[in-house]
Order: sequence, then C-alpha cells, then structure tokens
Amino acid sequence: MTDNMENHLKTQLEAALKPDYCEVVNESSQHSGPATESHFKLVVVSEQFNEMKLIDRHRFINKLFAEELSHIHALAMHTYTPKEWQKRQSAPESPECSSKS
Amino acid sequence: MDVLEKIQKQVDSAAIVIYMKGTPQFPQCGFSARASQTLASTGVEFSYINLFEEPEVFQSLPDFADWPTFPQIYFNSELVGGGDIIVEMAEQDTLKAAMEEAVEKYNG
Repeated sequence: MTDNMENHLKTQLEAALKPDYCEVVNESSQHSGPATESHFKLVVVSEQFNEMKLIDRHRFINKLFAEELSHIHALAMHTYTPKEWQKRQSAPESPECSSKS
Repeated sequence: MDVLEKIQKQVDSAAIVIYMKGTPQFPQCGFSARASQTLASTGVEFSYINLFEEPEVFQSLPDFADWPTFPQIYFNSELVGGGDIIVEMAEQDTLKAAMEEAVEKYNG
C-alpha cells in the first residue's frame, strides 16, 4: 500500500488499461467519519473498453483493485470508450452520504 | 438453509431486486439512495433487501456474484451491476426498457 491511494489507483489503471484519459478523485472529505482515504471516484477512458459491456468493465476494475477494495469504502466507477467520452466529456457527480456509511 | 441458497431464493423472488443499505424510503448510503431513486424514477416496480437487516447476506453477497461493493441490482436473478451502472443506463435511456423486459420475462 502506498500512503497516497489516489496516485496508487491511477498508476495501476494506467498500467492496466493504457487509458486516453484517467482521473482519480479522492472524495473522502465529502463524507463523515475520520478516514481520509475512504471514498474515491474514477473516470477512465480506454480503447480496451470497446469490446466490453459496462458490467465487464466494472468487473475488470474490481479485479484490478481486489485488495484495495478491502480498505476503501466506496469506489465510484465511470468507464467509457473514447467514442462514448467524446459525446459527454464529463462523468456524473458522486452522491453525498445520506446518513451513516 | 445455506446463506448462498438464501440469496439465490431472494434474487429469484422478483423480476428486479436491489440489495441496498437501508430502504428506498430511508436509504443509509448515498450510493444506495441514488440507485433506488433511479430505479423508482422509471415507475417500474422492484423489490429491495436491506443489508442492515440481513447481516449474513451482507457478509456473503460479494462472494455470491463475485462483486465486492453495494448496492447490487439483479434483473431476472442476474447481476446487472452496482449503482453506477444503473445510473449510466438511465442516462442512456435504456433502464426503463430493460426493467420492463425483466418484468415481462419474469411474469411470462
């Protein structure tokens, strides 16, 4: 584990998916509780998603971060092909925690 | 009953099932709230299971579908994805049709 989870996630994604665009956002401060590395959002645009259904893209990333997901509380994923990304250019905002976790 | 059998029965019990933290009326997690609201926005009926009321299921669900996070949404006993996928389907305008198709298949 690195002490900077954000960079760690980004490096792993870049190595695995050779993305055209890759953004990892630490959203932990939007959430209650003391943890500073609990909630992350990632936006990945990669050619490698061309032949993959949405669920398979998410499964791929879940596998890549199997170990990390045992520490992270939330990982919002937004995965696009370059073509899909061209149409939207932005990913949805993550929700606020409504109360507990 | 084995907990995995129990989960299988739950996902088989309705066309659309969401496993969430809390309930659609009183969600206890932002991602669960958004996923259940997104399902509800289609007007198609769905079932929910509150993970906080079923600690065994909460514990074993990630193994059941090899999916590590919550919420989880099932159509016709098959995992469709987590909250981000449901939201994405709604944005692409495919969610309502997929839910209606699931209900039709379940009733047929």
